Amino acid sequence: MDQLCRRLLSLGAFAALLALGACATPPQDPEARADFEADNDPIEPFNRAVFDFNLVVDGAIIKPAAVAYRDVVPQPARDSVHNALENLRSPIVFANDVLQGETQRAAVTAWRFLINSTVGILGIFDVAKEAGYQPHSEDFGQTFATWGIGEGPYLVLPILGPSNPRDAAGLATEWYLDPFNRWMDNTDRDWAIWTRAGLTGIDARSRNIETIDELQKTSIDFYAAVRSLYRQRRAEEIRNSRPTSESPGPTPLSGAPEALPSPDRQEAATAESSAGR
Amino acid sequence: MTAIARSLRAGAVALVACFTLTMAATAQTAPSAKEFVQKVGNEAIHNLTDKSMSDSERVKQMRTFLRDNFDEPAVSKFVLGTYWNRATEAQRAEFEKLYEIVVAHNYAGLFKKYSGQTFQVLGQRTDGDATIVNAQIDQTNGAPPIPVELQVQKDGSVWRAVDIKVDGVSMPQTHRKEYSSVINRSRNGVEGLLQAMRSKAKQLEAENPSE
Repeated sequence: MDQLCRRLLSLGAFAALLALGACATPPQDPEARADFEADNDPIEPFNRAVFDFNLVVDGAIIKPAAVAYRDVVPQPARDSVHNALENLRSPIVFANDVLQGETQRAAVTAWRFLINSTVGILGIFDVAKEAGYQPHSEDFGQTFATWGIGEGPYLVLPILGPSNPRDAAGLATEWYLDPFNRWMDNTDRDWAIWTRAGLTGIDARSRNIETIDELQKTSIDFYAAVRSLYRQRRAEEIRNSRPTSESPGPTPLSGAPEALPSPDRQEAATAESSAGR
Repeated sequence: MTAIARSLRAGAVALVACFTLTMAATAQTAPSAKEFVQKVGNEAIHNLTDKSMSDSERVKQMRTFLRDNFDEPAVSKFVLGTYWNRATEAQRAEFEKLYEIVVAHNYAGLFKKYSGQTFQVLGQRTDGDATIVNAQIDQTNGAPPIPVELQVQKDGSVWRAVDIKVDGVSMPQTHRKEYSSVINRSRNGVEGLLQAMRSKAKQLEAENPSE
């Protein structure tokens, strides 16, 4: 994995160079300039290029895989996969609960992990939920936010989708610290890490198919819509106004969370102020 | 004779009493913000998810639903933001109409997949002079409930929604950001946005006409 980290780092450095060359020029018009500053997206041309790239990958690989997964695998089996993936992520959620000083939520996460890993057979069945321990999600990006670290400018990551420097650092931290990943890495079973990552992505994407389709179909500037959605969702997640159970962080690719109620929902990301007037 | 007069009088009294009671009852049942939101939620979740409805019909009903329950001029003004002042009367009116079409198609597409969910109002709070009702959509498949917030205001004697947030995401806020980006990237300002919305509406209407 160290080799992988180095590769990721050099990829990051390369992206940073590209981004420098792709800085947006602030507009002259005062209102346009106010929008420009509020959008906090200084490398927008670069981000848009990555976003378009992600859309292509999504259309060619990820979405078809998610659709096939949903069509072929029956719901109970998909639920089991989802539960097992969620359970596998519990140590990370627990660590973040603790780092945020959320002792009660940490206790719930710990109980859930203990119950589901044993009675729930390696997390395949969410028996803890039946017992009243509702699932929730946390990640390092949210923890950094509660420590007062700002999100920084908008950033679209290849494949992983909408992000920002804080949340990207959170993702990297999680990837590095995750006990399952470490164990597999130490035992030369990197394929298990990638399988898990792939499954997590397909699971998340398969819960968002129509929501993203509708959003894309009805939006005029899909990029700008997703940017706003991501920030609003992140802000909501950071506030913990509601326990969220589903996927960690951004969904793969377009990563657009639902703008609307959807029965096959999945959390994606959160931030931005409300539209209240 | 007196017996008749007496019963007539009793009848009149009863009538008046009835009338007064009805008035009082009417006054009492003028819906609260919470009742309004519950009604809107039920309507959305029951009527607009009807599986036997054609896609066009769903969009058509969604438009009526939006018109009845949302303060469309206020939402349009919010969505256009600072550009509202730059827009002419004609542009504002056109924007409002196109926006209704785009939102109706979007929502109709999402509600189509619903079945069996229920909507319950949880509470209400005030934030400045805004009344915000929070609710949730309970799902059938064991998935966690979806939080919904409606900001409502009284328009005469009827309530209308001016903002809707689902899962922490405000639809008008998202559109405001999206459309300001379109305006800023276009050479023609508001007219550029309207051009893009016209072709978007045309494309959506070609698929599922609602006019």
